[in-house]
Amino acid sequence: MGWLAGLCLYKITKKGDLKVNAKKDKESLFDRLPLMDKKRAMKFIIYGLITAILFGIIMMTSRSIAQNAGTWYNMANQDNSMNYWNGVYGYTDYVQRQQEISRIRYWMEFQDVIFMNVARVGVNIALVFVLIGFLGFAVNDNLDPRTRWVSLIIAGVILFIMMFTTFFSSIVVTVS
Amino acid sequence: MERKKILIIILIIGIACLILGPVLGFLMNKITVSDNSVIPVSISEASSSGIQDAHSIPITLDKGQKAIIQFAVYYENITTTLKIFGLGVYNRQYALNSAPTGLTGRNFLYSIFAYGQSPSSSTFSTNSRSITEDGFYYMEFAGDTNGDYLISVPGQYVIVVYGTNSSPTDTDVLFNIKVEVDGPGTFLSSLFITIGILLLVLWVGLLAYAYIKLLRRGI
Repeated sequence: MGWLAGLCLYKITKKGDLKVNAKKDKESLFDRLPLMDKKRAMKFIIYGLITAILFGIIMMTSRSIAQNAGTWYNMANQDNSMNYWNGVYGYTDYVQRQQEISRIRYWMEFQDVIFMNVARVGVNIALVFVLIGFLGFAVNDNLDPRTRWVSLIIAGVILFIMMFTTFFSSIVVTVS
Repeated sequence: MERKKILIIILIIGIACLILGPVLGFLMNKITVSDNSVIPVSISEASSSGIQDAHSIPITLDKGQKAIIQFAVYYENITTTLKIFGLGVYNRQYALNSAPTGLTGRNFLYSIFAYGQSPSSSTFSTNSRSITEDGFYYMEFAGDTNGDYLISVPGQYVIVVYGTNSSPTDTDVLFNIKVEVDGPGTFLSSLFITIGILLLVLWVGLLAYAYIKLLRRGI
């Protein structure tokens, strides 16, 4: 009988552990935020930065394609004319290719609208991660007050940037 | 290991599609109906007085499809003329053995490829084209024309060539002709390139997923 009682006790203990674990899992991000350790906060910042950089690259590539669509259009048209003059194809093919070149040019310009908006959403989501990371630093009792202040200021700046990029679409930063 | 193999297969197929697309597009761009660009066609002088003796090449055109005709003469004393008729008109005139000189063909375009000149000013519409002794014409036909532009009229047509030989001893009329129609090259090229791009996107996605999974330690 002793072994049976032992088994029951073991089961009860295991269940209890499971319950405790389940409770831990149910803790939301907001509950964990003040308790966020340095390592986790750093992960948030790094993942957020990587995601922001990736979306930033998409943004820059998309904008570059759109801005250079005119140059590509002129070059493709020149190629088309030269192919016609060289007798590679006739007038109808020339006209068809001309129309195709125009269509591609319009797409090169229009894709900017799609990718820029997708990238903007992506960057903002990534910035939320970075913001949470810095807030994690700011509320960490184990860090020195100066670092916490700096983290809080950076979090505020990120929030400020996010609000601007979300509510205003014509922000242009020129670096020359 | 299995996943790695799948990734490699997807990458290879994707790259193969991207390479095959333009190659297939180029190879299948035009389908040759008749090729006498090297060995000349020989018909008799009687072809100008009776359509039954003329050289005829039947073609069938779908909507949006066009025929490319490369017509040339490099032989002394010879004058040849090319006209295109609808199959109905041709069959009736063939039964009557009418002289093709008096028949009006359908409109087609020919280009002179003047280098540096605007293509629209070096392309002309006509319903017959003649060459005497030396000459080459690059022609396009899709059923009809409107100015310098082709109008697609699907149907069956017959390209007819007849001519004369001004030599007092020779009656043979020689000419070179090559007829091609638009093939499925553009479609195949676009299809393969699209498949290739989609496979590469899938490959990048799977690779990124595997990498993220590898790095994931629970934020």
